Amino acid sequence: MVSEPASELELEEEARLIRAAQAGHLDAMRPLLERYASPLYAAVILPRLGNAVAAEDILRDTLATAVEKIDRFTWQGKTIYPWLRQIAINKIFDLHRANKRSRRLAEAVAQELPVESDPDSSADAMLMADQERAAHRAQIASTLELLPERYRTAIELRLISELSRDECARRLAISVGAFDVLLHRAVRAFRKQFGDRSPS
Amino acid sequence: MTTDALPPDDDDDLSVPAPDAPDAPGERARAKGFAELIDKVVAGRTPAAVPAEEQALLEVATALRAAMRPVELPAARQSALVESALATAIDRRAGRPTGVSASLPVIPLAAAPRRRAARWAPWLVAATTSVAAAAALLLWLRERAAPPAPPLTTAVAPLPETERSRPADPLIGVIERDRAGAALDRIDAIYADRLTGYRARRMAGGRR
Repeated sequence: MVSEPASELELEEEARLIRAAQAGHLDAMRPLLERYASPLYAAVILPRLGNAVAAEDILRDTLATAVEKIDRFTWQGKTIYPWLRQIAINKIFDLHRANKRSRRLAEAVAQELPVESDPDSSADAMLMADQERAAHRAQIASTLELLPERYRTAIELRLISELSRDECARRLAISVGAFDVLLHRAVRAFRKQFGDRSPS
Repeated sequence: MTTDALPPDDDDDLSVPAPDAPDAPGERARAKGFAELIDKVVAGRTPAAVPAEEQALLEVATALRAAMRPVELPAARQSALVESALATAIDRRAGRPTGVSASLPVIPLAAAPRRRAARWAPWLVAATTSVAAAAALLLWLRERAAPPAPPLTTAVAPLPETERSRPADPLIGVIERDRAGAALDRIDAIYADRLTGYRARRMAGGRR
């Protein structure tokens, strides 16, 4: 994602659309929802859920709530993105509240990440999303470092480089069945390490 | 949400074997099942049914991939989600159950243009049906009022013996042993006898 320099014009347009929505023209929110849906999905929701279907449901609900409650948003000369992000995070935790397993993943990923707050423009909002993803990446990379090398290699080959199981097995000089076992153990080990690093 | 219904798994309490440890019983089958789920995720498909014990691992793998690889929400999917969200918000504000959006264009029935023929067609069908039903009722009543028809039985005079189907035993009689081979003679005799009856009927001109 490429971030543009802050644009005052863009920010003015955002303010105008929000005023229109607050005046009752809810359709005015459409361009803002289209602008921020993707960063919300990729940087905020999917990494905390790990479930594409559930992530889409949360995204839709987040956008619907934002439109419904737009009257409560107070314009302070900054983009609406952090407000949308907070709605999404609240919904994710509502979802995980009753579920020990999925809550653990959400808490592991959703530690207070060092992201810039209060972006001034939509370009800064994109930068904020980029930073959030970078923080997730760093967190996951440091967890991978804690795994035995063969587990780390199995995850890198299959889940990140997306090589086929046959190719992964060939590179590790083992059978496909043995690679399946290795990957299964590797993901279990990753999950264990990832959870152990989350705040209790 | 799919995650709500899933029970927490018990993997937390199990230690993960070392990479070179021998397979535990059933481990290879479970690993193969998980690998096939990963195949679907990597191919961009959502696994339809995920065993509860693998759901947590699949979520971790998906979260890991979401952080380490570029993730894009397809434009068409994003557009559909935005439209759905707007419709839901409008419904909620209007106090309607979600899914019955006021934002959808609704053409009032009174304003819908209808052709003259389309307006008259239902009345025409109803009128035709009524006339046909009345005619059928009238016919039925007239039929009931008429005197009963005579029975369709016809008295048939009994045919003479020579023109009826009958056994050939009285004609042939007992077949002697020394005449057993003369079957042709017997057939000729029967034929001649039946031909007599046939001729009598034909000569009468069908009057009987």
